[in-house]
Amino acid sequence: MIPSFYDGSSGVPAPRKRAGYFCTYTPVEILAAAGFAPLRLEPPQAAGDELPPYLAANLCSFARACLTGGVRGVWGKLDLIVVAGSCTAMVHLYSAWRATLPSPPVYFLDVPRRSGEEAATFFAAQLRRLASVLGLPSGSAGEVLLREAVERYVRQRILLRELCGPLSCAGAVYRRAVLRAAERAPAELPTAPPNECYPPAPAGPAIFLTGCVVPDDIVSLVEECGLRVAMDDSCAGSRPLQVGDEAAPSGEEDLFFNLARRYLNRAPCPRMTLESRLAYLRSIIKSIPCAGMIYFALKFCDFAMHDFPQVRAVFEEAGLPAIFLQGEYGDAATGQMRTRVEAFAELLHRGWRS
Amino acid sequence: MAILNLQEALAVKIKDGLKTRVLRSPWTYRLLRGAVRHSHFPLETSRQMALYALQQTERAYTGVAPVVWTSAFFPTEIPHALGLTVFSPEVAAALLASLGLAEECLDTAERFWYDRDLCSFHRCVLGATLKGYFPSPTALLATGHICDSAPKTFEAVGRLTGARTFFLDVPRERTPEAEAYIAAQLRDIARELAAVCRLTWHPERLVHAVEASERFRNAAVAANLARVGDVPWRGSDMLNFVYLLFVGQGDPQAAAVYTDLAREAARQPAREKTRKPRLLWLHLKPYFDPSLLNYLEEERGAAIVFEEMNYVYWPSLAGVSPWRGLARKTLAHHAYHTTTERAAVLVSLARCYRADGVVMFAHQGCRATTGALHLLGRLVQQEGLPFLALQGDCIDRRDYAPEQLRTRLDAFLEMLEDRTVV
Repeated sequence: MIPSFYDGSSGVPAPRKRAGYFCTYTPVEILAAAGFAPLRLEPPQAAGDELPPYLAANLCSFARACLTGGVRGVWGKLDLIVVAGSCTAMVHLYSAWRATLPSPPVYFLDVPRRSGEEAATFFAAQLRRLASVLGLPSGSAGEVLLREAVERYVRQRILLRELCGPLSCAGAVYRRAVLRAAERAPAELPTAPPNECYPPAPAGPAIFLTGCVVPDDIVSLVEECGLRVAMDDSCAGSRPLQVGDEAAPSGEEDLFFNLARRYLNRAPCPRMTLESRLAYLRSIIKSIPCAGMIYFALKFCDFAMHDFPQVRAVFEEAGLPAIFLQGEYGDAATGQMRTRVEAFAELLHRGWRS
Repeated sequence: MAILNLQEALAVKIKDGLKTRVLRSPWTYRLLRGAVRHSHFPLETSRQMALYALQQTERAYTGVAPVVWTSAFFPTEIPHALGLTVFSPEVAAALLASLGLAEECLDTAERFWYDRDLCSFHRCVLGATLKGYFPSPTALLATGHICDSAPKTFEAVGRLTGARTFFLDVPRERTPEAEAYIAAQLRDIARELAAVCRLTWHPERLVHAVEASERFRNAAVAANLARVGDVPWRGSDMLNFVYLLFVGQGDPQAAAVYTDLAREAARQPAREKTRKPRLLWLHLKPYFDPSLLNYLEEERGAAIVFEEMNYVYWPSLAGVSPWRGLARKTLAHHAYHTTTERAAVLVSLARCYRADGVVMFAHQGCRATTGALHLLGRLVQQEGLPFLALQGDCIDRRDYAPEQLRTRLDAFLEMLEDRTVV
């Protein structure tokens, strides 16, 4: 279900090399500037059911599915993999990937878990190193390429935020498809077709969906239960769009530092400090009218499991009920899960109608 | 029914009140010191460590100095330089488990939405905080390396207690930028911690704390070297010294205890040659049940010749600035980087201590040490070392199956004995 305005390559020449990455804290601008086509590697959900070599069953099933996807070759030929050290599971994925798959080369990118000047300075140094390893020319030639890539992504994200933001009338499943298409075609800017062209979102109460990696099946399930996903605050949803593009580089600010600062200050995922996460959620729930919150945590995601009790308190302070769902990446939308979401939807429908 | 519930609730409240009152009474510590002095300890240094732990616990509960909680592997030289009382809630969780008090804490945490898949050390810490068992912190110092769960736990404790949380973000790769990043954070933490505790930061006191830490390290290296010569100590006893590693670095008293350990090791006769097989032990142990390791070391006669947790992974702090030295130390942990690196260290330890095999007590909630368990096992086995992962939990006894663990240990020991004979 890819929107038609992305069909076809529109004559844009295919880049020579493909660089895969898993975590949305990977600054795609650098990959693009260095001549790679950045490809976000989201493993098929079915891959989450398998136990790949070397990773334990009590490790995040998304990380396990990534390795299974690599072993099965679901992403075709890749020239490079960038593994961001977002969490322990991804670091184990890096070790296991290297032990399992001889190619392509795997680059490890350290990503701080806090924002601030010191963290941004450190991250900027990591980004400079990544750019250098990828062959981005140094000096003004490289700067021109990077600036061009940064500007392109800024334009794209601003448009996508309008298309796929909380005010969109489209369903969340469809919005995700738009985002994925956009990731594959960063050179093309989406144009906004009239809202009636989209498969509409359910007409029921609006909910705030958050967590770590929320699988598509869960989003479909929520919509099937008659709930409208006003905010899809997930790595697979709209969280990667909130990269502070309004603070894009201007004047003499170092491009790498600017990228580092914006990525570390973007809408935080549960890996970042609790303080930043709660501040972000407090600020955003004021602007998004919703009737409740659904939190999805992948089993064995320590960050998400620690995050929920605190996030729940924030929503309850705002008078919004919350439900905690937990499942595996590959088999998230179970019958039991449906029963729970239906019960929650019933609760929200009652309050919504009254 | 309502009356019964009220009675039950009252009983719980009274019991809880007694527990915390006992911990705050100086008489408790006087009594316990007497008991420690007259009890049998496997090592004389274990007695000294118990006395040191009692002193620190008394300081923490009686409010002699501001209390800071530190997570495992946080550089405690900083709070020691400020003269603060260092309290390790993770060690306290182990103590609660050994006293049979962990389950109620785990239960409390779970009722407050902390999922059962989370590390039981941290669930126990959260439950004990909610129940008011632990001394009130003035500040919380958490590091993100090795463990994703600890900083999150500390942040939650900070919200529960109102104490300021300081988070040390540790990169994975050892680069000059990573060192500079950690050193800058440590400097900020020290300055702000002093302000929170209403103390003045004196740089020369950090120099003294680092010197004490260096003495600690030298003593730990000497004790470990002495153990190469087959000191007949039980691994289960040696695992208790993790307490000093977690809270004592930077404290001259802790350095003195470790120096005595090194001296005691040098005085020991060699282990009997009959004790076989020889094992390298990874991670910790089930704190609620000593019988598993008793079975291994007493009944089966196997020898734990070294424990990964006692390995001195960090370089000397001498010759560099204190901040830079602490940053290097923080970055140095062998289990924080790739599984290949950890496996290489384990193999070298196994060779150094002439281990016949490697056993990991795979703590269910520890993603860092068990997440790539199968890869670690394969890398160790490739070097000719049999590897056994015993799945279990250090704190939570609810899914504990001791007979199954013993059966697996038996099979592993039998296999090792056959290899030894061949």
